[in-house]
Amino acid sequence: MYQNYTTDDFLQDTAFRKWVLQGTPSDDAFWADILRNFPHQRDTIQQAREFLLTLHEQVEADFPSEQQVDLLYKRIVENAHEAPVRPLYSWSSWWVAASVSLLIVLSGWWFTQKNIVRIAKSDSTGMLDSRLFEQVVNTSAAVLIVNLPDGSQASLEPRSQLHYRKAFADTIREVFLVGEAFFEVQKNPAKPFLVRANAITTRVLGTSFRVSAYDQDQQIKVMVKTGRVAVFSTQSRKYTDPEQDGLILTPNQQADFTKTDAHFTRTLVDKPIPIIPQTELQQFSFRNAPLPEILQAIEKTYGVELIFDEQQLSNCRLTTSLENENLFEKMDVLCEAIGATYKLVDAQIIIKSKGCD
Amino acid sequence: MKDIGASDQEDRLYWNRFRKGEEVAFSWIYQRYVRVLYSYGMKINRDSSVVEDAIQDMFTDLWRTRSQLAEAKSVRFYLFRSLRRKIHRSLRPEDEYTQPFNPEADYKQPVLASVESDIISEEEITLQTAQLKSWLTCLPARQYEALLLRYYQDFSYAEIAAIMNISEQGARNIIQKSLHTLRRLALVVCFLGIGWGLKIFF
Repeated sequence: MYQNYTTDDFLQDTAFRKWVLQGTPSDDAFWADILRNFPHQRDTIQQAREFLLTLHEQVEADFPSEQQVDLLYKRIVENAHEAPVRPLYSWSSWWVAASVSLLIVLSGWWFTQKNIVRIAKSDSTGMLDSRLFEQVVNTSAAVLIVNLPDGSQASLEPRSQLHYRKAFADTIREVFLVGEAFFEVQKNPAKPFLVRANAITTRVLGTSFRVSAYDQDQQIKVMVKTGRVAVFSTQSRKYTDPEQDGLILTPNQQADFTKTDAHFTRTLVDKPIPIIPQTELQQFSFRNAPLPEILQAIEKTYGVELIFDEQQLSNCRLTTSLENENLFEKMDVLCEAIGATYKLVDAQIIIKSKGCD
Repeated sequence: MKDIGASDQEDRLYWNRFRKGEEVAFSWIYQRYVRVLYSYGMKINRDSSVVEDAIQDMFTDLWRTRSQLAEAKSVRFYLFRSLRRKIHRSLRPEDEYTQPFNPEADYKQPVLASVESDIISEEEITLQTAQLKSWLTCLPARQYEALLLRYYQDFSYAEIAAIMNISEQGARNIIQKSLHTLRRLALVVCFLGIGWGLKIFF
């Protein structure tokens, strides 16, 4: 049927629009076939495509900034709280309200004594249902350990809050974070664990990682300690750039999400630490060993990719071990020893050297 | 970009949780739609404070009346229709059908100004996009609105009709007319000696 399609027809075609605006590789293959079979339709398809992409661009040109989005939400929450629609008739609701307030005052007193506020109904919005939801706010100066319903643990940083269902849903484990926390997630491949933080969602099956999403920060960061972690924009916009859509992170990698342009970049965490067991690490001890051998051990130890010229570096020999240092300290020492430099590009380390005589 | 089709079910799930009073579900719906709603609002009325107020009112109302809300077949549809009503209600009634989202002047101005110089310097594809863009902004407000609802938001004609408060046939006509207008604009550009028009679009 596609051979007789006009531009209008293509525009009306849901599958076509889906391909243009959020095309997946399988869609690409399908439409590449169409183009091969009906080469005379190339211009028509190109026109329809151009039209959709332009429309899309026009829509996005009017997107609000992330600050506007946050601010607007705050105003909505405040408004909803300030002037609730109260039924006129009810004495009983007055009593309920009064006793709830009393309870809030009492519990507020009780919990602030412990410097940690574990509240639900008395949060600033009053919008959270305490029967279903737990909200933990860390007002203390220390990290607060939160035990989640599935046995996972969150270490909540000061000035941060977490809310989640008291009983996780059947299909997913979902928590909502404002601020920063380190998660150690119990393995359960049947039930993904989602951290919703501002505009991004981090999805794991069982692993440990840190999410930093303070309202005032321009960037949201996800740092992985163990396991594989998927990070994506909650409001996914697939047509633009796959890199914007999300990343799969491995240990010692970090995703930075810039709120203003909704863009992800991959890098390494500030202090990459060994991802292999201590016993294995102890075996990595080198005596007058060729540098490539040491670098390969480093790759394995930290789960990172090093880019170097193997032949050039094979004349460089060093005595070292891999214990007690983080990756960058190690690299500093090695590079200094052989007069080389290195730089971090995305999540890879590129080593520049003239080799050794 | 919204996910065409597949997301409606997820929407309904969160909608129901929101109706039961879960703020996180409310916040989820807000986060998912606020950007496209805002953008849509700006097409109806260029005054960002009007659009912001309308969005704020709409979501505040939603929260307050959550227990009385019905199950929504399409949350997206419900939100778009509510927002449009809010924005129109905030205007004087006589403005409702005359208010263009681009001032009249736009109708002529952008097509000619930039295109000529573009031809010399830009690649063909960039030029196409630039022209399309100016044609799109040249469209009368309601035609652009209909195009956007149809091809960007993937609403059915019945839904577009309900959102724009016109008949289903009316919705079809508007879409047809706007595509026709686009074609005509392409021709105008063509007659003005800028030879790309026909070749590029239709």
